[in-house]
Amino acid sequence: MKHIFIILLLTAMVNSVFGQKLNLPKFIDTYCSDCHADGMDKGGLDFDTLKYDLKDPATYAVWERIFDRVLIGEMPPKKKKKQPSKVDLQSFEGMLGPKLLMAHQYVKGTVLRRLNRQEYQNTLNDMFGTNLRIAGMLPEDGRSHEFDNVGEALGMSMGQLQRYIDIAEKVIDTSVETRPDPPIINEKIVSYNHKGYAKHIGKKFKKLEGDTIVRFHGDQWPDGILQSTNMKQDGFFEVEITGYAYQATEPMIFSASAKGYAAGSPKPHFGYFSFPPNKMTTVKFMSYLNDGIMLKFEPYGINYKGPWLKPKEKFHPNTYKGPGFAVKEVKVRGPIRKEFPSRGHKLLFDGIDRQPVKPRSSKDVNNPKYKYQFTVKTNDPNSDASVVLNRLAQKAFRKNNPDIQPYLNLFKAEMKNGESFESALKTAATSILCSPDFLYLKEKAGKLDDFAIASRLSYFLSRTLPDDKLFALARAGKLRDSEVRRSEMQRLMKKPEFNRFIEDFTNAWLNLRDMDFTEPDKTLFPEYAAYLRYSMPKETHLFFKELITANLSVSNIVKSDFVMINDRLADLYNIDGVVGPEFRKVAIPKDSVRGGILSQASIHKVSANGTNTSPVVRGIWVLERIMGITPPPPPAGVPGVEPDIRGAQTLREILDKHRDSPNCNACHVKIDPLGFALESFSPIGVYREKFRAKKGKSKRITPRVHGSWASYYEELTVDASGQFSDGRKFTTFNEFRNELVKDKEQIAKAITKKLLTFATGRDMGFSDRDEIERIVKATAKNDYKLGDIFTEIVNSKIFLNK
Amino acid sequence: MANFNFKKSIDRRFFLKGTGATVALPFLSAMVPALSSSAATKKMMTPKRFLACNAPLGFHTPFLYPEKAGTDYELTPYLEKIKDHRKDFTVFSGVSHVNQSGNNGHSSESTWLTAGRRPGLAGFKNTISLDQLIAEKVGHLTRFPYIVITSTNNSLSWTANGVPISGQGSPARLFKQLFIDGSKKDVELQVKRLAKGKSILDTIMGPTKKLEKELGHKDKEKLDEYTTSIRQLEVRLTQNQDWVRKPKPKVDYKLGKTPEKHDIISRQSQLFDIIALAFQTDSTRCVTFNLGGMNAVPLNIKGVETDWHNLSHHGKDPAKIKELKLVEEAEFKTLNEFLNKVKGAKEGSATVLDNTTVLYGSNLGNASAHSWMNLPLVVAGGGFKHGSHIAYDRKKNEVFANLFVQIANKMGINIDKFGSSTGTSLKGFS
Repeated sequence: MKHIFIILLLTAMVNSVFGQKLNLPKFIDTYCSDCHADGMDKGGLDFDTLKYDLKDPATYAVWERIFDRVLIGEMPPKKKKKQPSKVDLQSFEGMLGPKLLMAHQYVKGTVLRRLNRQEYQNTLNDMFGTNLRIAGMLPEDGRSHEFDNVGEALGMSMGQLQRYIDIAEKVIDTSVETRPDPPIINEKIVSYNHKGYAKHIGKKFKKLEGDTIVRFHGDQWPDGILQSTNMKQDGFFEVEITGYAYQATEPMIFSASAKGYAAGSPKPHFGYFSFPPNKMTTVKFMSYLNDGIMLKFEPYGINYKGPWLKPKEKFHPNTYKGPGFAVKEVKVRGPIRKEFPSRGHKLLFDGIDRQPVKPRSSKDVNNPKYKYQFTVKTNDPNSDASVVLNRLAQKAFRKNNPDIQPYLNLFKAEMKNGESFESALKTAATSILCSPDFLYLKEKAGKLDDFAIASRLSYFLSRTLPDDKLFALARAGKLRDSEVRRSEMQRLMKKPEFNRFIEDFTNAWLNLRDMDFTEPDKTLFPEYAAYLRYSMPKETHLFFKELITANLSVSNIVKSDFVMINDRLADLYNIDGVVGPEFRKVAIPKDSVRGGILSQASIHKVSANGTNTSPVVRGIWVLERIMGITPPPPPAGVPGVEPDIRGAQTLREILDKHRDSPNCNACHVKIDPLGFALESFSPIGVYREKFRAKKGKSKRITPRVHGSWASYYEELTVDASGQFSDGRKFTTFNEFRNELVKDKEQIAKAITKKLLTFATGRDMGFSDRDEIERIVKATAKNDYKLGDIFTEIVNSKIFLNK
Repeated sequence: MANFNFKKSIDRRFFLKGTGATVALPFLSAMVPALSSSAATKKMMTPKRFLACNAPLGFHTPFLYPEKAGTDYELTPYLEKIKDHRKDFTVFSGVSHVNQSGNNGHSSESTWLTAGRRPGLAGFKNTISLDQLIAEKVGHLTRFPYIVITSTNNSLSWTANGVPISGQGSPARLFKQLFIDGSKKDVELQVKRLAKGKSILDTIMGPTKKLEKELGHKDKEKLDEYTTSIRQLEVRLTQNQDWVRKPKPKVDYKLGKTPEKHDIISRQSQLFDIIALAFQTDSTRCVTFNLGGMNAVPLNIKGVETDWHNLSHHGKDPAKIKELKLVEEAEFKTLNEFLNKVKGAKEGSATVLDNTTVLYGSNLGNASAHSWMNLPLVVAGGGFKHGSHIAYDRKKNEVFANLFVQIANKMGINIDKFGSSTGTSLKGFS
């Protein structure tokens, strides 16, 4: 009876979707229906209710999974007596495969892709030479899986469009010069020997010769803000800080940042630096400061409550013997303008006769904030405006011969309304920056033209509009040449903008964007202070960049013989001989647990739940991001497992029950072992053999970590052992990693897929499998080097077609 | 005039007194075409309103759900805080949305008010949120068609295209937008900006139509989001042009100093005050409020020393649950103050609360396990029959979206389906 029912249903499917008679129903009826039809819905799959519309993404995903699991040999389960013959499998593949292929080909082209907010910010700042924080003014972008630059998922709303108008006006206004000459450069020399700090000197601070002041603690009141470094205008400023590590044998690490008192003030961070012990030293860096914000320096890892005080001794700066942060002076110089007039100003006014109106008093001339009035002299405003609008639109639309008529019409209408040339021009320019030709990356179906290739390369590797060289090559029709593309790719990888790619890509791929989604418990993990937080993602960025630029094998993603670290991470990782906050490449011993992305603290942080780690979350993390396999969500109605940190049971023990259910086991047998291995790392990346807990019967542990104290118990033991779904066993993280790294082809395939998704702005699917396979095979003979994969990508059909 | 249709019925304290010029609000604002006459307006003489508040870090349901169902349920720690309004609210247990397994534990936040399924998974596209559906129908009657408030980056409101609507979180700015008139110069500047905005929209419509002709089917669908946005913004700017010179309602309320960001309760309290005023002055009829959550210690709650997100992941640690309770009790106390205000404001023979449906809850039933079943849910006011604990099966939950249909219908917006709804009301609730 049930067979008839299935056949009826499947016939409907055959007729409605697959279009022709297939033998597929027989296959499903024979090998699947025992568990997946007529009331049986093991693992949530039920052929009675499964839909057949392959245009529906959810339905498509199910059929694709059925296809894969049957052909990999996972289904029907090995324990079933009835197993399909080779011929059965071939005919199954031959029937379903082409349907999936066709259905995917139909939908796969990159959907008209809006610049995401990061790309939009980069594009405007790069075009106009501004340095505005624009992304935060726009709503968060939609995501497809982990990526936020997939056309399909990028929406548009009325509110957003209004923001685009506002932002375009702001960018234009900011870039247009308000003075005829470059701004006057100011230099300020300040110190902590300042009336604002007078009350602390001799109490918290120690005064040495001249203006040199020593502080014995950081990130506490009174903090290290220097109020007189408010430069009262936005711009780049050179900063020099002079001082040394006082009463110290080790270098003094300190952070440089800036903040303001007004709500919503920017809080830029300029990095960590160090002073050597007892030797007056000057550290220089470049900073972008906004009007109203002030520089702030904080020493790291010292605290006057430290071991330098005898029991019950009160702190006094003049008798204290512990290390201090001695600062003689801070010099701020600027604003430094690399270009004057700005790029945006040149875009709008090159070739236009724009003259300042003479100020009424000479005082105004010397006031850096005085804004001049300007007048534009022109005999033919329309023709002058059309030159400007054409120049702007070429850049904004990223192509030759843009149609500027609508914008020119707006210019004329504004002039007719009595607006000045400059005001009318700005309004027309604003509308160019709100037009769909600017906001969306338009690509024609099929083979991409040179300009579309230029944009793909540029938004992929520089995250912004094509630079002049790329534009020129596009105009000359050279970007269809694979050799040119390869050399352009290498050129772009050397530009500073490549760091944007590194950051945006790893933010998505490895989820580094969620570094601050949770905050570890402070008494369990006091190590998680600002310096470690700062260092964690940096390591991953530099590591990934090294794999690309040094052209190393993808196997390094899982296991490498080096790390990219600074002193903070070296300390966390127990690696000797790394002094100072600069990141560097450090070789590590063969048996080290470090090396590779899976043992980087940033990854342990983002894959943990703040305070506890879950093998399931981490297992899925590894499976999706490193192995490129997306497990389906749990069947509806299956509750999640509730962690219990009271210290009686590990999550692994709680999960064991869960895994016993065959419904759960099908996926968890693949997910969990990967997570078990990573149990060797705490939420902040410390290698552990025991779990830290807040309660316990053993002795409380209270180590001092860089000026703070921890307090926890260690009782439950980490069990990092497991078994891959194919049977390979491991007992430690290192054994696990040694097995995982053997799967180079899978790792290469996964990263290739991620890179292609990011580069093209669309999800990879069934009909891309052959080309991805080809790319991976092409790099196989040379050990799957990451740089080679990039070259294959920019020369692939997927990259060059829509 | 903005105040025309409720002048007679609002509390004297909120009577308008300003006659000066006013500044059009940023794009959030939209205004009634002046005195939109006739039947439609009269029908709206007693405005029906909607407020939805979601706590993205959950509420600990053992402190919310009573054991007993029905009207003689025992008070729980959280209900204790709003017990004065017992006759004006209903507490539900065993309600959830359909199929909320998403790409991470918090993804159901995006679908709490839309009832979309599989948030964040392959092919997921969000749908319109309930407040936006309501605003489409009644939004044109007030200066603000809707107000979206959020204490985080995420808002509860989504457009019909499934795009999130940015919210705002500053009490001071919101208050200014609603109740403070700009200077004459500001107004003139605003008038000019609105006109300029409209010409920009006019200008880009041409290239958009041209582009549309060159695009394939799927690209066209995408571009349609953009075209729709242009059209909607045009309407909005036109409405703003009508409102821009009209004075805003004057309220007898002194907004305190803006609380620190981590002083979540004071912020919630100020924002609730402003929401109450916005309703009382009929400045809007639709508000969503993301109550917030953060990785920091909430300030000024005695006994709370651990960061909020961490507390929600209590892992059954009694010490953490105790602190979490302090935070959530404070939130319910704030809700109580809001209910006091809207119940105290008379509107004809009824109160503002009687005309306002308040949906208060969370997209997480158990935040520590990221479970989206058994959502915490309190519904107050709106003319429903209240006073009981309606308890459903905790294993097989009732469909939350059925309540959305019911709320819309109660407001006179006739729909028979919303999102994943399977009916037009929740069993036993009317």
